[in-house]
Amino acid sequence: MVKLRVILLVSILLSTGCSSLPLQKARNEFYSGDLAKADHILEGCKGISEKDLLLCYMEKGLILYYQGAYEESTAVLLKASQFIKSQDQISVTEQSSAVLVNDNVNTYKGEYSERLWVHTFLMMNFLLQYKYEDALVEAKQALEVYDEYPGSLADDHFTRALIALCFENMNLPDDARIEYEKLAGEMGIEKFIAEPIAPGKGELVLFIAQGRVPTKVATEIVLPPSTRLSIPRYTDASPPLPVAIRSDGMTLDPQKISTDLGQTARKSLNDRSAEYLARQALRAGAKEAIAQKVGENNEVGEVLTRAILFLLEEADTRSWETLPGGLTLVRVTLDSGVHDLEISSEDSKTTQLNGIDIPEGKRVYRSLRF
Amino acid sequence: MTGCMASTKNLNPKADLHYDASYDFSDKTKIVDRLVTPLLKAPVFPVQEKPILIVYPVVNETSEHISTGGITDEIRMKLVQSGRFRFINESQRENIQKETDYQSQGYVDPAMQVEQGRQLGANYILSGTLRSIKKEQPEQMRLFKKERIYYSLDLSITDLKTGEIVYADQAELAREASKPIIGW
Repeated sequence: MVKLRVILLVSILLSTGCSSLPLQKARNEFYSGDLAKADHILEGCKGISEKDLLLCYMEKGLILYYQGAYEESTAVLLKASQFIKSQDQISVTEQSSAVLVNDNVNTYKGEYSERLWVHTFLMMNFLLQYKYEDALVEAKQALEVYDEYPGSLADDHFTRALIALCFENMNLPDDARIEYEKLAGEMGIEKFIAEPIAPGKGELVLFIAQGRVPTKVATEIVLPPSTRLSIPRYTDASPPLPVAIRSDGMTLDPQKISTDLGQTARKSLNDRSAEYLARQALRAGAKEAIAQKVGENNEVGEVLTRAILFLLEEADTRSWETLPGGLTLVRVTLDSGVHDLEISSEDSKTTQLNGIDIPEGKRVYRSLRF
Repeated sequence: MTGCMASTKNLNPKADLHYDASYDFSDKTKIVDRLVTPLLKAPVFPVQEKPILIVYPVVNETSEHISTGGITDEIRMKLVQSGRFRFINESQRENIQKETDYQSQGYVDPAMQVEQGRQLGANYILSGTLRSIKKEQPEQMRLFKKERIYYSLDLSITDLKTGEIVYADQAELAREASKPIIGW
């Protein structure tokens, strides 16, 4: 009987943790610059277990986005959005397994911040395709996420400004004003003014991404006799650097609104800490009880069980890793006509946008990643 | 054995079938009927004339990706079938221009060429907006999560000559759905 229990625990130990090899491979290819290969690895999310499916949709959606395949990216991110909605239920089976094994056996539902950023990237996708009605739908869904987790997401000024822009595009100035008022409050400024496009002018809207979002790592705490707590936390990362815009040889000073994605992600995880710490405590108690029960008849079995249960304790460090570290929304008012622009960040990275045609009274969208 | 087999069945598209509180196909017919029936009886347009309408797509201002093109098409279809209005096919304008341009390039028998500059001009614009308000039950100790959604479709007809709104109506739908918070 003891042997059977030990075999069962060993098989659980072997089966957890390695189901997402394709995800890691795709992320590596993405950051080495081979986006096509990264996209190919996640083709149809084959070989990805159901519990990591959301991660696959999110990573694939972003890989496609940064390939400029906005329509395909939209389709995949809509699947991510749908998946999040379908997980709006507590699974008894999963929670029971998590109490015995670790949180990695649970279906990944996304941090609060990641749930918001699915809508952020969908908004950007739709705006880049000039589908303003669809962008507004995503803006409204993003507002629902803000309303659900207000404390965790208050620092995401980029998404809030994007929502306001979606309202402006649909000629809903009152809704835009409400979002700008909220944005001013969250940024700690008195008023936020978004000027309408003046006659003879047009607007270039830039979505500038910088760096990469911090990843999750585990903080290990060991308590005698064999209790191991493994708590997830985000690594440190530097905030997005200021960007400078030059057009036709002149330095411009447009409106810029930035979000440090690492900071928002960290806040989201912290706000969820009560939930995963309670589960850890419950798990530690359950594992101790199992080890003691085994030890009643077999001392060697207890040692083995304790070792396996100790190894099974592993923090859930899954996260959306292809996200940038920072997002900046830049709105540049330009005379209607063709312009050459140079966008540079403080770490001397520069991108040229040549031959951008700005029609009068219209907005033109571009996405960049440094 | 039978429980494991895949199955399909036909559904009545007019029947009230809802999986959740959100908009679905059976709402479309209901909402369109609610708007078209009174419009056909409205005394705004003289019976002896057939006003010429151009239909602009219904704008989606809800928080769901709803294909409002289906609503627009069904409103237009019911009005065309009533025989009380004439319609400009706005969505085919580019193709009409392409075809008439082709005909005037010398490939088509001159006797059969469509004369340019003879298209109808609309008297009225028919437009609409679909909106929604969603409310979820506040967080508290509960086993079920309730959600209420209210939809409204506003329809208006604008006189192109004067800019006056000569007709306006609204159809509403409200629905509540609940689902268990805990599942297997």
